[in-house]
Amino acid sequence: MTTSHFSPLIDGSIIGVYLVVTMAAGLAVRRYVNRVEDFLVAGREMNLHLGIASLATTEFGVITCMYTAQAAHNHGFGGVLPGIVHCLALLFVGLTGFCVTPLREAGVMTLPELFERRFGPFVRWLAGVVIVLGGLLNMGMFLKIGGDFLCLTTGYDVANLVLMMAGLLLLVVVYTVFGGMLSVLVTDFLQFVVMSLGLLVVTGLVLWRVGWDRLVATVQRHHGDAGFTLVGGPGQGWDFLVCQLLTMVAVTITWQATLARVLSAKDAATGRKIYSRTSFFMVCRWMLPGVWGIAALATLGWQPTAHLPAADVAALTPEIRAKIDASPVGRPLEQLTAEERAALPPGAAAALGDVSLHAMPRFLGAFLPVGMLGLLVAAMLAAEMSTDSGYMLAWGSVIYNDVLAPLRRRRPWSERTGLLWNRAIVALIGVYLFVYGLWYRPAGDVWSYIVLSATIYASSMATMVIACCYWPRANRRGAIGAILLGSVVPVVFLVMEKLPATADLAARIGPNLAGIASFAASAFGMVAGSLLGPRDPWSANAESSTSREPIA
Amino acid sequence: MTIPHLPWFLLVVVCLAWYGVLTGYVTWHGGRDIVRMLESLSRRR
Repeated sequence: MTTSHFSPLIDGSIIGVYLVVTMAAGLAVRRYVNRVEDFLVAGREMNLHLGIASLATTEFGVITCMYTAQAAHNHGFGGVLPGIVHCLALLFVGLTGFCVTPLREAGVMTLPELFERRFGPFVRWLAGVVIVLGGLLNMGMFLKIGGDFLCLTTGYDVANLVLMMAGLLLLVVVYTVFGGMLSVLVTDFLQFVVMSLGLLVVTGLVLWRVGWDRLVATVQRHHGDAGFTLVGGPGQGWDFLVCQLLTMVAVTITWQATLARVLSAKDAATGRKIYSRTSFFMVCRWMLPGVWGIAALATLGWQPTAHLPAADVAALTPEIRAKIDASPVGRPLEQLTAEERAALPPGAAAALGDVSLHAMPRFLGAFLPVGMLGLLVAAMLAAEMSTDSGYMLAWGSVIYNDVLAPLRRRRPWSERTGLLWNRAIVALIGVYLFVYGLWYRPAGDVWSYIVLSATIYASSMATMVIACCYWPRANRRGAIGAILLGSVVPVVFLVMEKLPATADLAARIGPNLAGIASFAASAFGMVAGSLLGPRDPWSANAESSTSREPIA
Repeated sequence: MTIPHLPWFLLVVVCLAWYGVLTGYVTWHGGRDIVRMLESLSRRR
């Protein structure tokens, strides 16, 4: 077992100073928030550089570090594939303006608002519900994994996880509730600076003190040649590549947290530049923490049972223990039979599944010297708070703007009421994060859970955005078909993973095929629904000829 | 001295360099953007 170098006095002081400065900055801009538009999209005053910083920091949280490090720990350098795919997707969309140009020019704050113009208010509401469902499920693990990271790097007992999570949440909710997007942008900027310094310094230290030769030898030893190839290693076949391609393009044109930067930009051209100039960041986002993950494997090795409580280890037979410790990296239960898995002590399977996820923070806690550890934890706190606040605002805006829209239509709310509702929604999302994070455990690795929960919404929303922009024949029936079929497939798969009767079948199908099926089902629903039904007799502007025209 | 798996090494180095440049660039310009944004919102109040 490793012990952390964390010093409450030195490292704790660094973290304390950082938190005070960030909170002060976030709260200081409260006085500029007077309208819902200021709260949700910073009054559309965001410039290019702030947009890049904001997008980079929201898309780089502790959970990013954790799952990217886990991917490299379990797959070697080939684990960076999703980052390369994401980079290509952002570049493609940024350079061509695919979907994002018409979206920005439409002047909407959320996607469902756009869908109402084309498909009507019911589709807007339904899309809002699905977006919120997928978005909240997706972010459900953020707080818990952030808490895990803090406990492991600082060496505090994971039993203190609840306290860590509660403390984090309180900080984030306070400045998000009061300042909204404006606070998020300002604090994102500060957090970008701190996070970037931390990332660069720690990676440099790892390369210097662990050394490139040792990293390469570790990957060769545990993963063989597959550890250096992008496609073809275990769990990274062609189905994985196709699923990643579909998901990343869909996420780029629909993910509210990312799209919010385009919708908040001064104009469409600025929005496209934010995308294309941030694109290579996605490679860095996977590569740099990936180096940390490989370094963790190099220094800690792969011996999963060493991280179980002594009582659980004593309950294992020597044969089972040997099988677990001889398992492929990241797959501790792979060599056990169903009976052997059922015989594991309660909680042991989940704890073993977490070993690869926890390797990187354990490594950093023992590897980094005092002072540097404080900087890193401040950087990761920065990243975590930024991500949590960005996402809370993104999903909160959809709940307010779209799910609650029918309520507001009967009697329009004042700006003051609107602000109050937005703030209450953000606070409630915070409570959900706390409860869900402590209760739910993903069946496989974190990245697979992230992708699958994202496809709940991304598959149907991407289909609808593309149809809105470029297919005049798309109609309300097709939109409903796309939403229902696109969301049912991943939800059913997530449930199948959890039910004992269907868990084996789900494991054989795998999350990649489930993700691809989600996109296929959504596209089928849109095309079949639109072609089988008549053209909409109804539209948002019944007398206008643009009602059936694509918005591009 | 040969560097094993040179393409991966170069990718790591490029990531570090690119990210370092991005940090400097955004830090410099982003600070000015914040001031301009707050001034613009102030004028609207």
